[in-house]
Amino acid sequence: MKFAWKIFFTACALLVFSLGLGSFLLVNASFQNTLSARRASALEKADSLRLSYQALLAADQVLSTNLAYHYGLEGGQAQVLESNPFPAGLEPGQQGSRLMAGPEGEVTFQVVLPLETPDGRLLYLETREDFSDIYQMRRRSLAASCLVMAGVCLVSGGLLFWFSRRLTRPLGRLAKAAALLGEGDYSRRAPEDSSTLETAALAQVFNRMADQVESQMAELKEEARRREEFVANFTHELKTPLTSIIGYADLMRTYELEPPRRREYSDFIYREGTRLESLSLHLMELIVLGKAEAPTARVPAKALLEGARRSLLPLLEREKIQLFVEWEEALLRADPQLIQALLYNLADNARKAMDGPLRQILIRGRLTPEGYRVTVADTGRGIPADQLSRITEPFYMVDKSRARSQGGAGLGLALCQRIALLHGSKLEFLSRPGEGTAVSFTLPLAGESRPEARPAAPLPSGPDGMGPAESAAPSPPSRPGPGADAQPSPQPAPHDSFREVNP
Amino acid sequence: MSPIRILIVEDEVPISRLLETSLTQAGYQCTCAFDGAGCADLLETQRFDLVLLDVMLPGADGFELLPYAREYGAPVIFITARSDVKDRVRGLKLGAEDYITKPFSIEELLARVEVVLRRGHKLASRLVSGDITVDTEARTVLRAGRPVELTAKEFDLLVLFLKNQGIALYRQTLYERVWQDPFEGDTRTVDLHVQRLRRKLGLEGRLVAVYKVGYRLLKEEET
Repeated sequence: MKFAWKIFFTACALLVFSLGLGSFLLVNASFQNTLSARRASALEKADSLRLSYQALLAADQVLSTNLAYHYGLEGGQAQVLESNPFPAGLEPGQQGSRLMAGPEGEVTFQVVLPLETPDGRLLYLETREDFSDIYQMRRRSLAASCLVMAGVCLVSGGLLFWFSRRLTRPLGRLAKAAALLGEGDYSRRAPEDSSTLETAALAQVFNRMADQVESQMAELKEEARRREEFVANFTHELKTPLTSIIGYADLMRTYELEPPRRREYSDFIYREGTRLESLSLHLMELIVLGKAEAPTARVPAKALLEGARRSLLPLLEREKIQLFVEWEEALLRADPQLIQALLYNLADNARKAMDGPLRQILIRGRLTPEGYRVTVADTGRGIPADQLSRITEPFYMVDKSRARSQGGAGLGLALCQRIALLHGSKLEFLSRPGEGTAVSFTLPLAGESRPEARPAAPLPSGPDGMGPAESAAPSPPSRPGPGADAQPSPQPAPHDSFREVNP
Repeated sequence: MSPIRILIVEDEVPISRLLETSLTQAGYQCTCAFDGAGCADLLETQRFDLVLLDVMLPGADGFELLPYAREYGAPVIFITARSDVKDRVRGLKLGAEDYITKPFSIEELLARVEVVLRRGHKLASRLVSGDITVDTEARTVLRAGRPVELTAKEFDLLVLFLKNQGIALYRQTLYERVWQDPFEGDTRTVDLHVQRLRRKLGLEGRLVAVYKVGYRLLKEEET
């Protein structure tokens, strides 16, 4: 049964019961009052009649009819009887009274009083008075109160019905919202404007729960989407080189080919094979890094940044890119191999992003309150703002065909992010399309870092020289290596960075 | 009959080259596009009998290009690395004729291309070479107008040679293609069937053995 109906019926039953009982008790009390008053007066009258009779008897005048007549005028009957009219009998000399019901519902009050004649005989004076009117009045009052009660019940029942509906409506709405939520409509909320505190609080609690559920569902969905995308991208990255390998191998084993053709095809197979190898190595790194523990080695900042510079210089010099390295001295807690791989990858990305006349990369280490902040900045083409949040996702490529032609599978930054996470930091990107990108992360200090960090000193190295990057960097060489961009870089594939970088 | 023109839309250069090479060898005329814009431009200016469309393209999604290709009346075969049913259904619902998932074998590619072209009545089911006429649908062979009885394997072998005229084919591949079994080193089956084909169709001069490779059906002008 609906809650509203339950409230309604219970309240109605209570109302009818209490109203009925109340009015019955009221009517009855007034009836009892009237009855006892009438009894008293009847008894009194009977007594005075007896006294009169007694007096007459004493005077030996028996004119009882007269008195009875008079009594009759007052609405009663009186007679003198020889014997006791009470069925059970009265003790001689005692008086008695009773109510007698007639066959048609009339009620008579009978009083019997003993009379003593002068000669010692015992007579009985009996008076009867009609009490029917009192009973009738009680019946009428009860009927009237029933009528009134019915009216009151009707009106208050209506009010009760409205009220109970109003009281339970928020519950109904809450139930509907909960049902919809259960069916997967996670944006559904219960209205919180209900009149009672409890239902409003319930709706609020429910909505808070729904918020939680919604956000967790969104998170799960996002996670599932990411995973699905990872798998889809992974299959794509896996199947694309496989298609070429299988296809060209199939051509070679089916047809007798001219040597140049054969060479071309085997070259495709070789290159796509290396791509597969790179993909599997990167994936391995991702898996291994996912399980690695936080680094504990103490490394001077200088060793890290200078190591990165040494490994980067040959690559960057060949492409006529200036490299600036600045550092503040500090002792860091880091895995030197991983951090150098990270720096190498970031710088290598920067190198690939160079397409303007200004070709500079800056690697800078600074002491900050949060730790040792390392930034790799470039003057490359930059990253569109709407893609910044996704570039560390595995397989995500801003420019697919360019990344592909440079041998990338979109895993480099995902790896870098993993390394940063392993050091308790995150890659932060600051980029302006057309101007350049700066990637930063923070390394933890190894307890006692030297506070008197000296200002970054430009290091003399490389043919183009090094200088503080902020103060007007030396103007870029006017000959930016003709066609340096178009040629496939003779560098090792990017995955090699993870194997070759040694401090 | 004018050559059948196929547009290959694929951003991966090696795969694009692979498709082009195999389809050209099978007698089709191929044009390559490497991104969505290039594909749209080509569709606008030229007529194609078939479009091979990669789903993941820079610039435009293959799904977006499909209705465009359909507008120009070219049937489309999707090529994709994604093999989820969802994607396949989506492509087919959009009106693609067929769906090829990477990695695919050349044989499968050619078979599917042929089916789609035949469905559009763009491919003659008749192969003619010299005095030999083969109807690949009715599976009948006429030599100088007179029917020749061939076994099923002989017929398949003949079709394979006719489709690869002038190219030396390895015994091993011949066996795998015709018998649909992995090759286990026994070349006599192939040799036997080739000899019978030669005899039945008078190809002694054209169907020549290639040392250490297999056999080659010389082109008409070579004989």
